[in-house]
Amino acid sequence: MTSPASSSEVKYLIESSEGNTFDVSGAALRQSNTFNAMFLNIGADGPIPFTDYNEATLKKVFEYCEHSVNEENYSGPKHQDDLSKWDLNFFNEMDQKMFIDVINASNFLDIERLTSYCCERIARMLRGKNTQEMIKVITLPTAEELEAKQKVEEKKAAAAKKVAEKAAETAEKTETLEELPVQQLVQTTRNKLTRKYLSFSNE
Amino acid sequence: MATRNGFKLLKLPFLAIEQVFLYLEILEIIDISLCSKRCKNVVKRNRATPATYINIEFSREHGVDVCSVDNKKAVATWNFSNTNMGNRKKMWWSIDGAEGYTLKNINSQNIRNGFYQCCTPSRQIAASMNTVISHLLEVLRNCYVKHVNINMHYERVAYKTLLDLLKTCESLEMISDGSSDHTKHVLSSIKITKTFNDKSYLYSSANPFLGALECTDHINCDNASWMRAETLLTLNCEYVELKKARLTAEDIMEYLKKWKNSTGMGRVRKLNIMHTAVGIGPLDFEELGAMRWDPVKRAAMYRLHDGLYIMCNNGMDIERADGLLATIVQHETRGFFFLVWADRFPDQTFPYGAILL
Repeated sequence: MTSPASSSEVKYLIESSEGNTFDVSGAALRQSNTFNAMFLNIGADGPIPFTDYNEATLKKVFEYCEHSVNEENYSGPKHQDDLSKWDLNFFNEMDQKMFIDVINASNFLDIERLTSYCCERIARMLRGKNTQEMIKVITLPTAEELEAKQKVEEKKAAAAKKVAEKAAETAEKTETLEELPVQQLVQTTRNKLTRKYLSFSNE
Repeated sequence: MATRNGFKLLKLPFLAIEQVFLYLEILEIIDISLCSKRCKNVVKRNRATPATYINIEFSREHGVDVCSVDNKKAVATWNFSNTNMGNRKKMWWSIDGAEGYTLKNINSQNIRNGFYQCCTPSRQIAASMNTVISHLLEVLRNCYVKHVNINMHYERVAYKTLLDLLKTCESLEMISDGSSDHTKHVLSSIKITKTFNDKSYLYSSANPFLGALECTDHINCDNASWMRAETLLTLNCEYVELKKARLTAEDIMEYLKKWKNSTGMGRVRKLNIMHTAVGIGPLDFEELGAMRWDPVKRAAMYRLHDGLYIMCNNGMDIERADGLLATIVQHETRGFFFLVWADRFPDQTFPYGAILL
């Protein structure tokens, strides 16, 4: 179970967002500065909750940590060209969602080596691109897409306006229809009263 | 993987985005800032953007260079002219109405340089330049305007739009025919911190500039007829060269007295004033407490700059309370010199090919 001992044999239990737990070696966990700051010295009583991240992501992150246990201490960013075959496979296996989750988790756990490799990988996608190409890479809508979107929105607004106008027109018509008999009634009453008054005054 | 379908950069935590920026060059960071308003804000917040400066050319050509402070090389060049976009939509960029296209190249020293062509009608060039410069100053942390070059022969009025934006620059060079108070307008609009080089050549003094000049390194005016005592007395600049000046002997006496009685003005090394007429007239050396040359106190030859020396054995010396010594020389053709001896006995070897005044 969990223990503050520094031996690499010691296993820690990690709890994911699904509530599942799994083992990670102390040596792997110690690559996380967040873990070092929070648990290493005081120890963890029960599973360590990293409940903002799902099991798959955490397993992927700690898979990397377990693999790089025997590598020398991290001493600044390394170029992708210098990555081992294992590292390259590790990155290539991930889909985009997983990649983002791994960066998020790695960033939270403050695993310098993994975060820096991931970030360098992203930087590689952007290098040498012009603005339009970058928009595509970072999947922002292009100017044409924005234009098309704006047109659709304008059309929608125009249609909504038409509907509103029609509704207003119909309301006006109903109003006049409702108003007519009242007006007529008032008029007829007035006429009657005038006639009565006249007949009285004649008498 | 992520490369095939693109990557939602803005979904990352900001600290991770900052780390991505660490692997990018200034050029790419600028490009990201052009992608969208959110991207612009992300770049603006990035604390690790390398330090840069901007050089501005406002003459026959209109351009802005973004240079890296590290290696002094231009990393992005913006050119402004009335050109068509043509079929370059794939390279399109836009900032608040200013738009154009980008070309990138890698030079012989393997330095990536971006060339941004801003397609703008001739009348709106200054406005487009303002838009681009504002954007760059906003998104690039630690970016400042280093050098501004304005040629009023081509732009007699439009440069004013540019100066409305620029509040300060390190050095400014201007060329004007001097007929429209250009110097006065420039000096009133922008604070120049290091070097001012005014190549206005016509003689016009109807409208003098009376403000302060805060340059610390160089002031060089081909036509300094606009300068009055008010401005002269504000100078604390290493090298000052004023041609076609209208300063009187009284003005210069005031300056010399100020220098002598001051503990400041420590930057002053050389002041050279040339007049259109004969000279500034006699100075009251007695009032200044000036003494003739004493070979024990200082050397005879003063180095003005590389290849140009002046013999000061006929000069008059004034010494401050703090021990700083200066020599006043009135040269027949080169006018009035006020020379401060940072080193009283510099190397007196006269190099081959040098000129001695």
